[in-house]
Amino acid sequence: MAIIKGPMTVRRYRVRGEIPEGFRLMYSDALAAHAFREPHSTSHREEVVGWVEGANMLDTNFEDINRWFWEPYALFTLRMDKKVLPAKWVRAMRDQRVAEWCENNGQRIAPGAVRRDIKDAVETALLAKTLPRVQLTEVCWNVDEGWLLFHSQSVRLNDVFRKRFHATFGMELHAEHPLEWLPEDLATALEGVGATDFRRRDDVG
Amino acid sequence: MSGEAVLEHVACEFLAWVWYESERTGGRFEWDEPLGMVDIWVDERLAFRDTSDDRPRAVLTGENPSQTLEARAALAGGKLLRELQLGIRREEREYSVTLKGALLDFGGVKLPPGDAEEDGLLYDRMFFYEELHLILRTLLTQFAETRTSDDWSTTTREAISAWIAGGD
Repeated sequence: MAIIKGPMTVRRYRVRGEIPEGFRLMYSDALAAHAFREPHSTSHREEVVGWVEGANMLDTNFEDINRWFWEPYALFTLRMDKKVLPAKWVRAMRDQRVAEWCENNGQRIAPGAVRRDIKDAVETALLAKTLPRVQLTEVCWNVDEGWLLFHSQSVRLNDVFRKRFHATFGMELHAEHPLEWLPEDLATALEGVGATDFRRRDDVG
Repeated sequence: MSGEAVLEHVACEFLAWVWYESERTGGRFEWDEPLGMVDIWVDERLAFRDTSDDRPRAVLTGENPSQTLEARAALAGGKLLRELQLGIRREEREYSVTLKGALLDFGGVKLPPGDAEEDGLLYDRMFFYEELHLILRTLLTQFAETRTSDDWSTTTREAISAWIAGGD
């Protein structure tokens, strides 16, 4: 886990909302309710998103609070799976089966509907054999102070994370703005400054 | 506060100021307690962008890229600093961080090695992360005070322009 070991590349958020009394048990249930679940069908190709316990992507047991909460830090991981088919295999297998269909049916060209059915069948067969691409992104939440680190700066992954967090805990996240690091009067003054051109006047064309 | 767009140019100026100030002071920053004396230097990566473009267009890496002619030439040509890797030392603890974009996101953060056993690793790491965050907050505060003072347009800006042009 990069939060524990290795370089960190993070976005810092403020957590907006009140922490309820007895939050450990409530959040344990919330994490379990929104934990990662394997899709029912092996040919499922849409993205699947959910929480896993920090150290193991197959572990979705949040019952034992001591495994994900170290006062004041909650530590868990967003798992996002997506199956991506190898395009060259899909095309080659489709073309081969279309050729077989033409031969079996004495046709020179297969109708569009047949080609589509064959492609769907090829994709379904390949999806069942394909392991998903797995993305694991760690979350470290200082519950007492209301800030959180998400271990990615990808815009899309951060969007997915914010939505999942809100669905799980009922609280909004907002990316911490550096102006919030400053005393309010200084932040307001800095917000009002215009851009500086550091080029010397005789260098500006 | 009205958001990211407002800070975009301020973030670029902040990064340029940190670079200038770290060279002007020999990298030594002295603040009130609890931080006291902190050494800050530009490390192995700078990325510039054009004013009209959001993506880094020129990236300088390697040993002491801030000392190369290309680095100041980029600023002299009107490019904006978009990413800056800093080395930071406080007492015996050494950090590395790349500040990126309008939110000054922390990338490639290297924290000092802790001496905790497995159970204490998280606390060690968060202690170091929070110290790093405090140092960068303090650095931004110093910049904000400088940037909003009357001296900015009369003294600091001219000094930075001269430094960019290689005047000192």
